[in-house]
Amino acid sequence: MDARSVPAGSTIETDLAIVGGGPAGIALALALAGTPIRMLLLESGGMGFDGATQTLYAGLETGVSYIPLASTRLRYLGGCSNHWGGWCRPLDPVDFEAREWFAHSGWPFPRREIEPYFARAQALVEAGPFIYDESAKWTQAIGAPIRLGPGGLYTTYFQFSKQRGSILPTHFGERYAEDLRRVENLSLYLHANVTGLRLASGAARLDRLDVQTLSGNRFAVKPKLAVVAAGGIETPRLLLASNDVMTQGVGNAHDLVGRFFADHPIPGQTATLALFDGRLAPYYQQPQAANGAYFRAAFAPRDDFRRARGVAGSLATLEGEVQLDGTGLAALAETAGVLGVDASAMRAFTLGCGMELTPDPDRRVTLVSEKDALGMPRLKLDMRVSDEDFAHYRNTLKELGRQLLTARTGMVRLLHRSRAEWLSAMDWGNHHMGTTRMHDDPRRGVVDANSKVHGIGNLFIAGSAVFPTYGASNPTLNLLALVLRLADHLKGQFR
Amino acid sequence: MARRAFLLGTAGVVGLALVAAFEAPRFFAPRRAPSPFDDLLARLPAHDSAAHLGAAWLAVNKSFHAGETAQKLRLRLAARPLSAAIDSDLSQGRMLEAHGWVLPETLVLLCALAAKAE
Repeated sequence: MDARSVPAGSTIETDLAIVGGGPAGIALALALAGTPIRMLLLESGGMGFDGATQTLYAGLETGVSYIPLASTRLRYLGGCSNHWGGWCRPLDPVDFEAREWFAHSGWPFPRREIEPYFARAQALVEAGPFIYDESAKWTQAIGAPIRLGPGGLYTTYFQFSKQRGSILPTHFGERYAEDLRRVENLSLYLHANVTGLRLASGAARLDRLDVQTLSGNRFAVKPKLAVVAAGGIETPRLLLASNDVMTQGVGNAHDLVGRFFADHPIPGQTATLALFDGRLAPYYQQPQAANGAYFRAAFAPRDDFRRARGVAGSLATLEGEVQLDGTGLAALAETAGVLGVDASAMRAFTLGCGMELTPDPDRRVTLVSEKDALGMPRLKLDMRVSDEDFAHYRNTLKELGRQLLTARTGMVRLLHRSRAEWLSAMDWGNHHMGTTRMHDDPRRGVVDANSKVHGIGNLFIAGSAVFPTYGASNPTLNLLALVLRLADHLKGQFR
Repeated sequence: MARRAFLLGTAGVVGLALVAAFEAPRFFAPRRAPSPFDDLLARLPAHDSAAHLGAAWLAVNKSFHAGETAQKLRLRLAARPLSAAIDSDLSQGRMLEAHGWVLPETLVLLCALAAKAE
């Protein structure tokens, strides 16, 4: 349905309103298909990119250079899946643990809580069988993995969302539009911008959602329950801007909404890896097909290494081939000589990476006075990366270098020492997390372990906005598992 | 007689050529003054590349004391080959960065001595 044709001033009643038609909102609607729950999915955009709608995302930025807020997300059905790379990998068990050395870390439950949902999440992203670190069974036929000595890192495997010719991974809007139309207990509204979460007096329950279209239409939705699935930037914006009853914003009694923003830094060319024998299996550089899946290898720190050394999560990938400079050739000659290995066929490659950031309450989004075309306050992002975050990854790479030497396989050169060097190579994953973090204690989290906003009986948040600690894995597969768990919880709410 | 003289002469020329062929590299090689660390530097595979790498490490490690380091390395290498010391560094995690390369401490320190010996 087109929200522009809804009678102005009307109120639509429903059991469940889902705000946002990205992967989280779509997965939730599909998971509740065929239940007695009457659902309404409200998507701001249409079926494709529209400049005027996209501009609603524009905002300000301070601190470390970040992708402009108007382009780090996409505002039409399918949301950010319309520009994702398809990289999938489950979070590691340690990512869920509270760690003294990692500030503000820990989920309210261990990974096994969402493990039962990974298989269905995997089906949604169409990444083939759930193999991941079992991929080594099939990689041997393609080429031997890089040998590492005993130590903190191991070869792990990403899987990839289905590639469709020139169309890269599963675009949830395009892929599931027809499935959504067939869901009898769902009404999908396009061009429907939710501009306010209106609480009932007493602020203990959500009463209605204000909806606007860019064409000027306005109406309301009155749900029994609502789930905001608008992403890690727009979700806090909506909560903060809904400040008519709770003046500090919905769910913001403890000044947490919008704090702890995170993304994955993906600085390029962080290191050089030289392989003495020059042999590199192709799945280290490009996704390879095997056993019905596409996979690519990376180096990851083991959970016990992360606990023992106090390092954050990271994933290092091999990228393009490079030539060594004179000092590199000298290092190679001496090292190969003392190790007694033949390095005459040596080849060297750059290492790319995805890093985890330490949760930081001052890395946050806040409202500014400037308004968008719908009268919503725009956001300002204060982006920060600590020197400690870079140090975590350096220490992990040093361990990789030690293990390669121990195995007589190769050697590693770290390319960045200073903060300026790191920042000059910086790029970001467009993975918005943490701004409505999950914690059992309302003073430390916006939502509880069931993703319900603390203090509000019928308002939930879905997506990576609730991740209290981020890991280094790409969030989509993991947030989908969490959404499927939420769907089971919501079924119980309506019984 | 002429044939015998010819053969002797030929053998002499060939002998001289062989000696020259074997000795020329040493003759033309860059001369390096003896250093107090030659006993240690003899364990490295190649002096020039070691000195190159060592100089890169010294460029950011200005407080290096060659004498103290040599004494430490002599103790470390006293009763074992260099390869064993390298393995010990690797298993103990004694690593240093030279021009960003993550390398065993003993190797880097030997290279630094090689640079000092230049």
